[in-house]
Amino acid sequence: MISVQDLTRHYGDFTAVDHISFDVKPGEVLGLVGPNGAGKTTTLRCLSGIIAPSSGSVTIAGHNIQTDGVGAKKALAFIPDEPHLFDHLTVEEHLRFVARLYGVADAEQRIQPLLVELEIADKRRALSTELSRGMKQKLAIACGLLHDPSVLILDEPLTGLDPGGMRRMRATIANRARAGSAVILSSHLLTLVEELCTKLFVIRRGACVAYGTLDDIVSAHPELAGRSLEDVFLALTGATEEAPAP
Amino acid sequence: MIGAFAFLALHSTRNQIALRLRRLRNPRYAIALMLGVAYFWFVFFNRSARQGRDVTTPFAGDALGTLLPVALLLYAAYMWIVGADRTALAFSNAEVSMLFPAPVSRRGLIVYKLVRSQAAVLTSSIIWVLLFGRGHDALTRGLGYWVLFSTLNLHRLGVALVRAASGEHGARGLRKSWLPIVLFGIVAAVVVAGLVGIRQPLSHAEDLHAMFGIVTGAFAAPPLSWALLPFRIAVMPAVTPAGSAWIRAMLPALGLLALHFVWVLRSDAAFEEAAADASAVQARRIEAMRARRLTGASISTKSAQRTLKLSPMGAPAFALVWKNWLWLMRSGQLRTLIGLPVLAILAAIVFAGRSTHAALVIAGLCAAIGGTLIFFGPMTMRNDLRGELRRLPMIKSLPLSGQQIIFAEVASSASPTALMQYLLVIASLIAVSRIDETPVTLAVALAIAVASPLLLLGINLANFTVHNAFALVLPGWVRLGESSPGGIEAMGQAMLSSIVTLFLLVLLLLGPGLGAAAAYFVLRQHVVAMVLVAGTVSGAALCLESYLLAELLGGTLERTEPMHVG
Repeated sequence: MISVQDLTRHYGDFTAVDHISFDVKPGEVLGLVGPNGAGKTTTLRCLSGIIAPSSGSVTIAGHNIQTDGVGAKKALAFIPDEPHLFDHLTVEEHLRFVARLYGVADAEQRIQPLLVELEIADKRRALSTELSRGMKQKLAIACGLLHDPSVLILDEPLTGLDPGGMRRMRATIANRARAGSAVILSSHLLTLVEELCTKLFVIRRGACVAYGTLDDIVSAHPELAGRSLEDVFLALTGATEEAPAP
Repeated sequence: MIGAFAFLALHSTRNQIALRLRRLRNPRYAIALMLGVAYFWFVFFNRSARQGRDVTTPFAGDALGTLLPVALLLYAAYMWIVGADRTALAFSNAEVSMLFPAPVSRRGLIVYKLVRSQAAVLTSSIIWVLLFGRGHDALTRGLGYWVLFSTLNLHRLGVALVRAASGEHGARGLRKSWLPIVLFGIVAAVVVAGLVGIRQPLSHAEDLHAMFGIVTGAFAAPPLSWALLPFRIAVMPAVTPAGSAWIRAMLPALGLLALHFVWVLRSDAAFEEAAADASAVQARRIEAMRARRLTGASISTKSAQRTLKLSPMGAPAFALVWKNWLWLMRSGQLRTLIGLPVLAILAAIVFAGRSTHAALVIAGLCAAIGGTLIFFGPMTMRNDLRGELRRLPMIKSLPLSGQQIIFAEVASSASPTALMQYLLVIASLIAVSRIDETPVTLAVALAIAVASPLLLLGINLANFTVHNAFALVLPGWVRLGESSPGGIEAMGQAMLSSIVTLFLLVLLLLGPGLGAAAAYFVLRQHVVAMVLVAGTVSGAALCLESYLLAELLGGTLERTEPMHVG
């Protein structure tokens, strides 16, 4: 469903992403983790067609993102960490806008349940500027899910959500994967990654430092056996393991 | 506390100047600055350019001496009745966060606000002196402008505070501000009574010129001249030559300014809440500008009650046009776009039949406004890719090709502008058709009405495509949301981009223009056919050119990355 081969991205002399490759099959959830500045956002932007790779290829649902960008984008939903909404559109109008872009014929039947699921049904006629940060995030998620994408790319999807919203979002991601979507989830919340992801891609300074299921990764690094995901992450990315003294 | 305010003002100014100077290392800003300086020199200091132009004062003559106080009266009435601009009370987000919780009195905050507003007042005064008041009495005129603008600024703040107090404290708030309210009530009553008195002569006026004479005459005599007295006092130092007369004019003007100052300082009851509200409104405006718009139009929550339908099926790119039209509707721009020509049409129906002069004035004004829209339209109507480039990551993630995005965005600005111009054409045609021996027959008028939509759409598509192309290819040279730099270099950039876009538009118009000229030479004996053929052929050619250019730009958009647009 998602195939990334030898993806590289340079900004001038700086290499933000360095020859990375991975696959995400239908039903899989890939956790993309790494410290700040590791290249996660650049990778996600390459995958969603916002920026072009310097070399390598990205295939989404059989469409090469560079040669058939429109076909690839029709199959995917990219939900960024910061929701970008239109100030002058209401909640419902955002969904109608997305429905037209993706040609969702049964939009009327989908909009109401989606708004109810994300608990923003009572705000359907409110402008996006009237929404709280969490509600904006929920609306961005609703826009992403409306056309029932087969590929879901999420960048810190729980930012701004209340505890109930976080629980529902976790369930939504799991349900979408069970329904056959391929999901990439980038997050610093390692408990979320541990709970939802079927495999991990650990990136550091643009390069892959570990890829596979948690068991695969631990078996490749026997010294990490029995340790928490946080410890594994810190060891793989070279970050300090010790918390500073109070 | 004054020390802290002075520190803030001084260091903010110093840092802004330092930033501007650092930016000059970039050739883009350096060239723009040189252009801006050259323009200022040409306008303000070049003697040959100023020859033959009366630069002593814009208010010479009795008619203007009456008109300016009347204009001030109307402005004051607008503030009292409709509401002063709420941003008169606005502070920046940082000021609200840092100053409001600080141990600063309300009066201290008001004084700070007044001192900050002096930067704009002084700049305006200097510009007016450079434009109109240079010479031996430049200093006195400058002081006159300063007193006038300061009084206006204080009046705006005072009205905003009175309205805020009444909103927050109801009748109690109004009672506290009873004196200015009563004074305004007296002035308003005198003006209404005076205008009612000239109702009869106005209804018998033959044309607009006669109506104008009746109104200015009424304001020059009691009782309306009494109502104008405070406004005349504020204006007099700016229009009186240096000397003892100027001193006699300045003293009451300073008294009026002092009264305003006392009024504002005593109206501080509802200040903090009103200022916080106003600051929130201003923050939303700035946010709107940053996010997308340059007009600063804010979207009210009430406007969300009206919508336009959008079917989920059909051309996906149309969703962008729909979204942009919704913004026009909700920001109130659509009302202006349609309201002005509709007023012109009504004026043509009501007044054009009265005299040939009136008909020609209405037709001429409509033609002038429609024509200037070709140049100024793209500057004011930026409801297209230029407004969208700041959110490029989102736009690029949409399932649309670059060409589809470009064409939809350009159409979003071009179509409403063409609509406005078309309605102005209709108003002109109605006005001209009311002339007794009109040169435009019904058949020709119908031909123009039929051919002009495609022609206007073509011209606007070409025009807006060129402006969007410039923004896409050289994003650093045009205003894109918050990146809009201020100062002389910004003006230089705007000038250069205007010159280049105008040149490119002329290139695009060349082919269709030649086609229209050919139609004229071939069909000039058959005016109706000539109008129809020339209009539709050149309009279609312009639409085709725009489409091809959009296709070319589509590839550029697909290659453009968010970091390239800042």
